Formats: sequence, C-alpha cells, structure tokens
Amino acid sequence: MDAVTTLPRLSSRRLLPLLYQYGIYLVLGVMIVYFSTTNPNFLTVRNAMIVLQQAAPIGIGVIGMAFVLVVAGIDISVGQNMFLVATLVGIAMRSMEAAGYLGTVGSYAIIYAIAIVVGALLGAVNGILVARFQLVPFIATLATMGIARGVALIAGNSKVAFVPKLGVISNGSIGGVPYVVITLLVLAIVFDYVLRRTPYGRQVMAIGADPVAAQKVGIRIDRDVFLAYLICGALAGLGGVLSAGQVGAVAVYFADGNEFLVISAAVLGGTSLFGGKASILPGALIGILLVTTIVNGMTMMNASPYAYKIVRGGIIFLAVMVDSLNYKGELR
Amino acid sequence: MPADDVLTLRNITKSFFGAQVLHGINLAVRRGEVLGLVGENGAGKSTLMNVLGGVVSRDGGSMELKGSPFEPTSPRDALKAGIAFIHQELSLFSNLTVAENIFIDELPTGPLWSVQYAQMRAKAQEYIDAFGVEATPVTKIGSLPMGVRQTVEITKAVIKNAEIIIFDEPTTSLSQKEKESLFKLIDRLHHEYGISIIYISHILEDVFALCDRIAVLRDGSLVGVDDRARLDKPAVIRMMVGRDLSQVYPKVEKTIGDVVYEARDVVQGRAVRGVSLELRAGEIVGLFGLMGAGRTELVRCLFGVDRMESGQITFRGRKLRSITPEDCIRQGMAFVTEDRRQEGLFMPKPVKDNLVAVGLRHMTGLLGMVKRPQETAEAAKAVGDLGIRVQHPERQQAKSLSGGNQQKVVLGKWISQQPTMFILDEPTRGVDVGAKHEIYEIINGMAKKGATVLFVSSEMEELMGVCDRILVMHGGKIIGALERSEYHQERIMHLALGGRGS
Amino acid sequence: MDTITARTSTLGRLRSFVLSESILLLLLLMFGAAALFAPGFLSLFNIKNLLLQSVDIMVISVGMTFVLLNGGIDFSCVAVLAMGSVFGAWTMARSPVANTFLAIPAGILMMVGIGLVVGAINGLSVVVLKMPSFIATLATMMVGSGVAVWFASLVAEKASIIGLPESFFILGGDQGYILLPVVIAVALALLAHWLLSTTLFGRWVYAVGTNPRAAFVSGMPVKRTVFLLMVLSGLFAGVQSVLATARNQAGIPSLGDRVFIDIVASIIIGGTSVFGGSGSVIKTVYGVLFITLLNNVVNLLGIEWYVISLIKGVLVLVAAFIDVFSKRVDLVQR
Repeated sequence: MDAVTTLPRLSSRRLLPLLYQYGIYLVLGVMIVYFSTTNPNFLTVRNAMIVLQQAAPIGIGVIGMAFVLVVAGIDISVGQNMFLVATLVGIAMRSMEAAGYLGTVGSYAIIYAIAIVVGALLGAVNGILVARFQLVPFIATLATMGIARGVALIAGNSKVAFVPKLGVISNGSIGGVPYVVITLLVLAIVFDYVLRRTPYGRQVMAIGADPVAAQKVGIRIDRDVFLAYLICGALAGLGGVLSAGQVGAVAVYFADGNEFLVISAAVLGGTSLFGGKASILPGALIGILLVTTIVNGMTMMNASPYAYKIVRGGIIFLAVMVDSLNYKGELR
Repeated sequence: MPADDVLTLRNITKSFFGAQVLHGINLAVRRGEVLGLVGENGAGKSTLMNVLGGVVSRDGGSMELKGSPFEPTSPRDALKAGIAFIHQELSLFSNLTVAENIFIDELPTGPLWSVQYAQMRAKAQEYIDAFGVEATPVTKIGSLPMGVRQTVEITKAVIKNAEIIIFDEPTTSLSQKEKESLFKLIDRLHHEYGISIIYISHILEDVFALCDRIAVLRDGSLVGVDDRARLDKPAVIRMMVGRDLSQVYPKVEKTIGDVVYEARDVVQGRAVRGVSLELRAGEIVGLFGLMGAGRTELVRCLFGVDRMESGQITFRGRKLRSITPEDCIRQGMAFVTEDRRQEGLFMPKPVKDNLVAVGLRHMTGLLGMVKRPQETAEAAKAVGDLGIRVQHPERQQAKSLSGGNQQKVVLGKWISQQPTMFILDEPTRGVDVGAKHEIYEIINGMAKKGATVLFVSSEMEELMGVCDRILVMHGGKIIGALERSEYHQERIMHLALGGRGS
Repeated sequence: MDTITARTSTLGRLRSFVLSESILLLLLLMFGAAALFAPGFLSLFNIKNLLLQSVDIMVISVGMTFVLLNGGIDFSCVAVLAMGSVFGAWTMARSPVANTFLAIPAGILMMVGIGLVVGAINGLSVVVLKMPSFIATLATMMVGSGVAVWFASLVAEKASIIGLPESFFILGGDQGYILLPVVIAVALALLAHWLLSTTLFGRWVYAVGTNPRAAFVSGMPVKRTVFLLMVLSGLFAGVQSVLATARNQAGIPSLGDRVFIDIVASIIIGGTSVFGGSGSVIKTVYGVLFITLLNNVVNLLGIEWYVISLIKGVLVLVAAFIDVFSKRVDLVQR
C-alpha cells in the first residue's frame, strides 16, 4: 500500500536520529569551512560578532517559538508582532522626544516594557484563540498576523519611522560583546531552564507528547498552552524592538517574513513541528546561528542576495523532512 | 457494610442509547483481596469498571467506598477517592523520564520554581526498588518495553494512595517474564500494602492463579461470585456462557459450494501468528475469539487495510499478488470494519454519499463524470433493500442515523457491488435487536446467492445461530473449528480461552 | 432525531440555507451597500476595474481550494506566480525563442509547466515524504521565490523583465480585450467546479478530505488523490501567472508578495472548511468577489489601504470561528 514505508535498513533507527541530532553541527561546520575559504574575512572575531549580533534579535523570537512548537502549535504572527511592536515603540519615542524625555534611562525602560507588553498581549490573543476557542493554530495566527499588521499600519500611518536612538542598546556592546548577544544568551539560559527544570516546562512537554494522557493526569492544558503563546508573543516583541534598533528604521516591510526565519531556526535546532520535542539550549541558538551564518557568509561571497533564500528553503525542507519521517498521522 | 469490605456496589444499572448494559449488579470487594472479573466481550465488565472509575455515570443503584457513599463524576474524583484504573493505553509520556512521569502532576518545587530533581529522583528510586521497576529514575519512558512501562503506571497508582487498583486485560502486550513480574507485584500490592485488586482478564489460568475470588458477568448481570477454591475452569465457563439459546435466527436454504478463498500462513507481528483458512462459496464462517485473539488484525490483513508480513492468499483460483483495499474490491471482496465511525462511514456526509462510496467507480460516464441518476437510484435501492430508515438520504447526514441504520448503510455500500466474498467485523455491534435480525437476513441472502461470508464476532450466540462453521482464534492462531452439529457454548469458550486443560 | 426534523422543516431549511450560503448573501449585501454608499461604485470604469481585479486572484484561489478541501494549505502558489512570471517573461523576451512565433506559446507553456512541477514536488513531499503540506509548501515557497528573484536579477538590469510581445498582453485585458482574462478565469473556475462537483475525482477529493481512512477502506486511491490535488493547485497558480504577467506586461519577481492573505481569506471566508471535506469552488469564487469588493470599497471610500489588513484579519477570524462552531454544533449540512 505504501510506496515507501521504511528507509533502507541501514538508515533506520540507529543512524538517523543520531544524524538528525548532530547533523546540524556538521552542517554548521561545513558552512563555516566553506565560507572561510571563499573569504578570509569570514573567520574573524569581528565577523563572528557581527553574525551573532544579527542573529540575536531573531534568536530571541526562536526561544519563544520553541514553546509554541512543543505543544504542537504554531505562531505565524511573530513577524507582524515585531512590526507592530516596533511601530508602537517608534510612536512612543516620538512623543517622548517631543517631551524632551527621550534618552533617559527611564525612557528606555518604558520602551522595552512597551515592546514586551504589546508582544505579550498579541501572544495572549493567540493563546485564547487556540487554547480556549480551539481554533486551528495556523489559521488563528494567520488572522492575528493580519490584524497586527493592520493595527500597526494604522497607528504608524504607514510611514517610515526612524528610530536611531534604539541603536544605543541594539548596536552597543560591553567589553566587545554586543548587548543583544548577552540578552539572547541570558534569555536562552532562563527559558531553557523553564523548559527543562520547571513543572511548567515538563508539563508542556507532556502535552505535546500525548494531549489525551495529559488531560487524564490532570495537567491544565488550556492554561499551559495559553502561556506558551504568551511567552512566544512577549519574546517576539522584545526581538522586534531590538531588531528595529539594528535596522535603524521601521518601514512597511520591516520584519516581513520573520516568522518563517524563526520557525526554520527552531526546527533546525531540534524542535519538532509535531510537538513533544524541543531544544532551546543549544538548539535555538544553533538554529539561528546557522541561518544567520548562511546569510552572512553568502553576503561575504558576494553571492546574489536571493540565493540565500533558496538555500534556506532547501535546508528547512530537509530539516522538516527528517522530522516528518516519524510522523504517523494523516496526509494533509 | 461488613468491616472488611472496602467497596460495595448495590444494584448498579446502566443503559446506553436505550439498551440496558448493566442489570442491577451487586458486588462487594473485600480489603486486600484480588477479585477476578471475567466474562465475554460485551458482558459489561468495562462498563461496570467505567462506572466505578468515574468515566461514565450510573443510572441506578449506589456505591459505597470505605463506608461512605461514593459518587464519582470524573476519573479525577475516583482517583482522589483511591480508585486507580490501569488501562491498556497507559497515561505515560514517552519524552519524559520515569521520575517525571511518576510525579508529573505534583512535581516537587523548590527555589526559583525549579523542579527538585534530586529529591524526586531519590523518591522515585525508592519506588523503583519497592516495586521492582526495571529502570532508573532518569530513563525516558520511550525507551522502555511495555512491561516496565506498566509497572511505572502501577507505581503511579500506588503513590496516589490507591485503595483499589483495577487491571483491565493487563497482560496482552507482555512477555512471559514480564507477566511473572506483574504477578509478583500484584501479590505484594495486596499482601504488603493491603490494596484490593480487581483483575479483569479472559486468561482463566491467570485468574485462577492470582485471584481470591472470581466474579462472572454475563449479558450485564452478575451470574455468580465465589471463592476461587470452590470453582474450577469448567464451572466458570459454564457461568460465562450458560444462557438459554432462546433467540431464533433466520434460516435459509442454500448450497455450499467449493473452496473459493484460501489464506495460508498469514503473519503479522505478534497479533497474527500463522493463520490458514479455507472458505467456500455460500458458506457463512464465524470467527470467534476473545480480546487480543487477533481476529480484527487478521481480517484487516486479509483485506489489505494493514500490511501482513507474510502469507499467501488465493481467491477464486488466483493468487493475489498485491493486497490493498482497491485490489481486493476489484477482485470482488468487501470489508465491513469493526469501527464504523472511524473507518466505515463519512459521518458528516449524507447517507447517499456513503451508500455509493464503493460503487462510485462504476457509475461514471463521459470524462469521468458521475451519473447522478444512477447514483440516486442505487442509493434508493440500497435503502429499500436493506430497510434503512432514513427520510432524505441525499440530505441527512450519516451521523444522524441510529446505530443499526448506520451499520446498514455500511453494509449497503458494499452489497451494491455484489461481492462474492464478504468480511464482516462485528457487524451487529451497537445495533438494536430488530436491526440485528435484519442484518442476519441480509447475510443469509448474500450466502444464498453464493457469496462467501467471514463473520467476526464476540457474540457466540449469533455465530451459533447464523454460521455454518465457527473458527475459534486464540493468541493469533486458529485453535479450533466446529461444524454446526458440534456447536456447544462451553466448548467454544473453552477453545477461545486457550483450549488447554479440562 | 431532533436535528433531522429541524433540518427538514421550513425554518430549519431556511436557517441551513442562510448559513451555508452566507457568503453569497454577504456578497450581495456588500454590493448593495457599496452601490448606495461608495461614490463612483457603479461607474463603468469601476466595474471594469472590479472584474479585472477579481481575476487577479480568482484562478489561484480556485486552485488552492483543492488543497484546502483536504485540510491542507499551499504556500507555494505565490512563489509559482513569481517564478512563472519571471521565467515566462524571459522565455518570451530574452530566450532563443523570443521574437519568434513560438514566443508566446513557449512562454505560456513555461509558466504553466512551472506550476505543474512545483505542484508535483509538493505532492511528493506530502504523499511520499509524509511532510505536512504547510511546511512542505512553505519550503517550496521559500526556494521558489528565492529562485524567482535571483533569476530576475541575472537577466534583467532592473527588477522586472520587460519587452514581452505585445499580443501577449491581450490576456491581461489590454487593447479592448477587457473581457478576455475574465472569460479565462471564469472558464477555469467552471472547469474546477465541474471537476469537483461532477467527476469521480471530485468525489474522491471530498471523501479523502472528510475521512481518509474510510476512503482508503472503501477502495479510493487516497495517495493518488492527494498528490493530484497539490499538482492542480500548482497548475492553477501557473495559469494565474500567465494572466498576471500579461496584465503587468512584465515578468515581476515580487509578484504575489502581498496576495497570499487575500487568497486564503477568499477561500476561508467563502466557506470552505480548513478541516477539509467541505466547501466548493463556487464558494471560493464568491469569496474572491467579496475580497475584491472589499478592497475596492475601501479604496473608493478613501480609507487608507492598510486598514484593510485589519479588516481581513478580523474576517478570517470570524470565518474560522464559524468553521469551528459549525463543526461542533453541526448546523449546516456540509
């Protein structure tokens, strides 16, 4: 009945999971070797810092996405989440500037607070739609994606917002290490801890593995799933504001398509789309590192900027293909 | 209630969709005893346990647990009261460790909301040692064999201060060694911990080995409960099946022809371990067995719904090379699955669509367009022929029909193809008496026309009433066959239970 | 038994009708409201615009309906638009067959062919590799749009490829052939509708989308059907690429960047269920008209173009709620 039911004996069971688990390092290694041979400037500390810096804001989003993926959900609104957050932050900054308040520590605190709160709010909406109203996550977040975009465009009058002041944090560094990288590492450590060492983290893993059993043992699925989306939204918001600072301006196509970057990186890092399996440390980091390295390396090669999209598509295809080989559900 | 009774069930009754499933059950469970619960499929064991476990509510009667009224409204209630139910589907998470699974709903936390792993592991290790779990606290459930997983599930139950643990066919997926470990564990549970055990199984040897008392259910009534010492296997079998065969089954005049279908050495995993059978034209052959015998797995392989590992099928003189539903249908075979909701019907679709599902292929004309008049006519014919009670077949959804009518729709979609070989898996399950009879008549009608019928059922009586021959399966093999003249309830049950012993 | 009588009584029938044809009613309502309140709505110019704009996503939405009927989704259709446009334009303007009589046929063949190939890749990914359609098509979308942009940058100085044969543009409604694209789109929609509602294949699509296991046991070719669905979606996207390229009179690698949400919204708001097994091409057509009307009205009323993103998001949400609601409560005969 099946055209292909099992892979040839050699690859099944032993080799494949091993390959999948460590293959990503291999790919990363190969990429690094390849790029350093084509451009001597690639393998420098300075370039490494640039790569890390570029990767960081999105990487923060990847951490959040891991929680949503682990309960077999998905959130495609993160890109527009970032856009909304950046836009609102831009507006806040303009009014703070007018009031002469911009530049103080307090103003920065407010800015980042807004980012996280707005992001969390959007995440909360997603959480309610999926957990409480049982909407298909894909459709629900597709809708919120549109709504977030709409709100952002209305609020910002679809004009470009210049946010150079954000660069203070986004582009700054301490002791040669960019702030954003530090933030990413800290958040990765914190949330990896949440996932692996707190009851919440264990319970979301359980929900992803077997929602029916989770219900039976008394896990509060609604609440846990809601929180997952909340976390994803909040972190996406933070990533958004940090990214805006790096770009320097928030135009209409800011963060466009970032959701796919985030999802790709998560899957590449070992988080399964089907739930029950996630890796933040080192998974999310490796995933975003790989994706960003490819961009960086290809830019240094003067490769056509479009080629990277192709390569990324190819890699995520392979990553998910491997993920899917264990999938026993319906063909949809 | 007597001092040593931990649970008392008084006059428990339950009906589903108008059919009474439990008729006034009175049963007491003593503290620290192992009570065996036996009965045929459909005797009411699962329903009774579901009532006890809070999965379904009872219609009448009362329950007392440790002297106080017990009215669980959910499995959580029952669990809290001290009743643990070890199902065949374990509630374990394969991506978490043994320790995490045991404590999943009450993970110990410390500073920074962290799980106190050291403490948890130590505690888990205690239980592991106490119950002989062959794993470490940090082993992932996913890497453990079934037997060990079951022990973890049992451990969970004991930890929750279970007073009564119900085991539902626990040994179906266990190896002999694992079974022995389980029995040792059960022994300790009731001797050392004073936990009462209700052990449901159809493996009478096990029941006799483990249990202090044995209760027998039949057709929703408690036929008898006695000390094991006072019972023997034949006595239990007699209680399980000793009913008056008062049902009259439709008879039909027909001739049985030559062998048309032959299966040789069909193997599939541990469920089907080398089955061979021969079926003749016009013959209605029954396939009886208890849960886990492998009947459904066998027939699914025969039709290609699941893959058989090895085996040879010859149909009408031709060796079948590839076995898929499509191929089998083309050869003239039909298959009514056990689960009509999941695999038999398109529930949200109209009855008409369901009735033509198989035959649609032959109702096409130019460019693959479906001939609507023909479609409607065939559907109407099926409705008429089978007596399906539906007012507007082209509008009414399949799910709106009663169980009996739904089953007729499933039969109807196949019959319209006039198959020469019919495999039916529990075709009268969940069907009311009236519809059952109509279905028997339909089956008889097909046999009269020369078709071959393989009739899988857990209802011995109907097989005895309708079939020309009955094959009995046990442990993945056909362990016995009886001709009509040899039909004997106890003999059939004896075979189904393994056939060994007196 | 109550539901049966409810559904066959007059009131029940009315309620059923209202819910299942809600999109049509909505559409009429919208049209009426627009005619009354939107300035310049009923002008010839505007109606003409409306028709042409609806064609922009009509064919591709109809194609994707097939995939949604199976509970899946096809992200790559927009990449097919881009790739088709770019490669097709190149064929007609820069390739060896450019400026010959073969240019247009070859171009069209190229565009449709790309759709077929992408559809086949998606189909294989879903059926053989068992990848969920949304991720498989996501990957092909990324690769595809990357290829489109990269190829365009190779062969064109600016972002788009121009210099296509003028006679090709009639497929876009140029030179008074206003109705040609409309006719083509309608024809294809009718073809798709015919396929789904009258042929055996169509029945298989609905059956597989409703209950693949029952379909399998009943002898329907489940894998073949799912594969073909994906191919059809790609094919229709390819045809849309032809129409779009003709309308834009150039090969544009960024084609389709903004329309994905319109396509999905059209299908969902039209009433096709994301769970599979229920819906139709007609509903998608109404959905497309509705979305186009919405865009048009928003424009005419002078509302900023970006408000519409918000409105669409809300509408998708509402449609999703109705979808879940009707699945649970089961008011409509699906």
